[in-house]
Amino acid sequence: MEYSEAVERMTEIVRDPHAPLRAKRVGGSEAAGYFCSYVPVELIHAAGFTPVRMLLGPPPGDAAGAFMQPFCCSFARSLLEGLADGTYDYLSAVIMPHTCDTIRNLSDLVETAAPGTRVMCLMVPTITHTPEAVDFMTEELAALKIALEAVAGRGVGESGLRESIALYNRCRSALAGLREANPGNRLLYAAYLALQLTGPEEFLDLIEPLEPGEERAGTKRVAVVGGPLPLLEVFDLLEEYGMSVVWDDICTASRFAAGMVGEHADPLRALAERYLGRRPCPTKLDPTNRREESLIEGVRASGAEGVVFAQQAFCEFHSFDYPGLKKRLDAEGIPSVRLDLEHPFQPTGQMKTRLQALSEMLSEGV
Amino acid sequence: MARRLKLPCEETMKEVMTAYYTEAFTSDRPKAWVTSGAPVELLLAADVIPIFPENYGAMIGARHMGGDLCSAAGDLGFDDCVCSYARCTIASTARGEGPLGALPAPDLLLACNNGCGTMFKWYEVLSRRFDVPLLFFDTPYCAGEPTPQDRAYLVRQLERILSDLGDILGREVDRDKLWETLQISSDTAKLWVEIQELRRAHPSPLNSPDMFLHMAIIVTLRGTDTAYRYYQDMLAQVRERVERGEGAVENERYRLLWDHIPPWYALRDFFDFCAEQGACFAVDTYTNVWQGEFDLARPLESLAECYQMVMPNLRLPLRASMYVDYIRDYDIDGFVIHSNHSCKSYCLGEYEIARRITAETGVRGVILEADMVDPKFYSEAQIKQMITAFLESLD
Ligand code: SF4
Ligand code: SF4
Repeated sequence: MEYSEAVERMTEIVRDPHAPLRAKRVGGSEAAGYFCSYVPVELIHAAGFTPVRMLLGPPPGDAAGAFMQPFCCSFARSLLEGLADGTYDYLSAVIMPHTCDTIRNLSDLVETAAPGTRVMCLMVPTITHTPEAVDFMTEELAALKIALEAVAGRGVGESGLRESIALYNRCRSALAGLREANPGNRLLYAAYLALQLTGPEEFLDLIEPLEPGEERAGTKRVAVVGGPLPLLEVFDLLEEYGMSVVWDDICTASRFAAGMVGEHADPLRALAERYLGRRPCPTKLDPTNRREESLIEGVRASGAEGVVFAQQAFCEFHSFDYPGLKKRLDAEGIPSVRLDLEHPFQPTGQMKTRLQALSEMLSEGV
Repeated sequence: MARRLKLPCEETMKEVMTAYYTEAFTSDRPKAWVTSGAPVELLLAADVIPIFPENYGAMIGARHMGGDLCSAAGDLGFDDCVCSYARCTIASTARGEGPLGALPAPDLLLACNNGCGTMFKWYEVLSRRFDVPLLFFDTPYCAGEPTPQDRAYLVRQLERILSDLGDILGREVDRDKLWETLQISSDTAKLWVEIQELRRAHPSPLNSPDMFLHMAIIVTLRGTDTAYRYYQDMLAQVRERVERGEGAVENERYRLLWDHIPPWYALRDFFDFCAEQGACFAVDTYTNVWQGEFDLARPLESLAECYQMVMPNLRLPLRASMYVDYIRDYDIDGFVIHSNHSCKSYCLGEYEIARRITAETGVRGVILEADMVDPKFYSEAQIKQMITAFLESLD
């Protein structure tokens, strides 16, 4: 398959993930939604559901406004809107983890805003590095497994779970390979998103036959840091300023994809270890400042010359981390800009000015 | 001007708080900055002086220093969506400004996320700034009874915190002293609950702004004899008030419920304005957070439970039913909800809670959009207009 065709097909999945999943449901195949990259897709898949990351609903409107203050991020408001207006009506269950204060409260509001939605809560610990946190997560996953089994009407065996783990590990390797090939912002980020919006089998059918295309040359190398970033338009915008994203700390991209699940240990524990062991997101305690260290390492190793912070407006957790990260980048002489995103996405004059200024500081790479 | 009836113990309160801050500023004993919902008993048992930045944030707000300090936090890179307690205290530290200057630097930090996730983010910033260890107690959101995995996780964390605390201080935390502290804390909370319950009387002997004042001691000194004695006196004095049939608000006409932290910079102005119209806030959700009796037969388990099951950490149906109970138990005519720009944890869900209260009790309310410390989100004229219209609608 050519790059151009892959780009088209993956973009299509990102543009409308719902239609194919609805059609699959008619064919007897169910899907379960999940809210964040701390929910193990392997477990959902092993229970017989297509795991669908809930990335973007319609622009927030009356339904969200009736339940949520305008000072909540538009990502969360949009998802509530989508649950209320039927965008997500094909989902057999919605798995909501404990992440930030907004999502934590949202789990309660969904049941009223979208009656009939089957909500399953997953209490992801805020601490990720202690043995008691890993034990707690393992127990929480065991409880989630039981809840999923009840809806699926069938048990999840250990071997089935191992198969799902192996399948997703294969997807992750494929994504790592694609990143190496430096195929340009749109294909790479469409591919990350596609894996979260379609089954792993379909994803492998798309990505494995991909012929290595031409490496993109002559672009400026940047790293992107942020939370959920399901908007391909943002990556296109960066490309307009000649920027190629060579490293990221984005929860819908490499934070979702990086790190394999151990295939030999007790599978639930292996899942707990992989999910908690990753580079933490801002909703997790980070006692050794891994986020900052990995940003500097990532920038250095990838040859990025600048950093774009692309976070949701009103996201308190990212806003807490920003000043520290920015200060460190300044100290290291790495230029950065910050974009605060809202849904629907409108590139403002200020964003363009900032990107232009950053772009002028970067050299044409190779 | 509405008169605010003072309790005799308010004089002691000033002394107690001055003594507390003097000691915090001058003592050589180790100091910890701690979140208001963290198990401070562990620190007291370890002979560490606890310092509460949230309490200081409230002082900053009340002294009208919040606007400047919040904008100074903006200069440090913290934008407006960050909790204004965090913003103003971070800026106070950086600039050395505040009602008492900057708070004394901590030797360690203790945070708990039972109030919000903001707490540990804020304390991470502090931990990096002061280069001191952060002890963190992670309390999963709670649907009712703690699950078996919650219990195990919480108790193992407490054990770890105690052992880390011992390592930091170079001496073990004395368990007997800890149990003793838990006992005092528990007894003090019981007194506080009794005082709250006296507010059911008609007229109500205490208005919410009274409680915002008197809560300073339960927040900062629970677990000490001083706090216990203070609330013993207060209880007796409030009882006398009830016996005399004396109301906190002259000619109490409306009995209201207040939800959330108040806008500290407008405390007098707003509540006096309400009192002038005969509105007394006979109950509030905020000062009722400091409750919880420990079972000394299983101390760590019950400590874990109490700290996990505080109101903001309970799932919405449980929270809503607490509000409904308040409306009934305190014979409330209307409720006022502060949709506090700073605090997503406590605020998100208020719209739905308001609907549920009205559906279940027929009692209506208003929602005010503002912030507890940053005055730029407070529109005085609009808020007063809303309150007046609301009170008129209750007639
Ligand atoms: S973007 Fe921030 S506020 Fe929004 S859901 Fe994610 S962590 Fe929460
Ligand atoms: S977010 Fe709310 S609960 Fe948390 S520290 Fe701020 S005011 Fe307190």
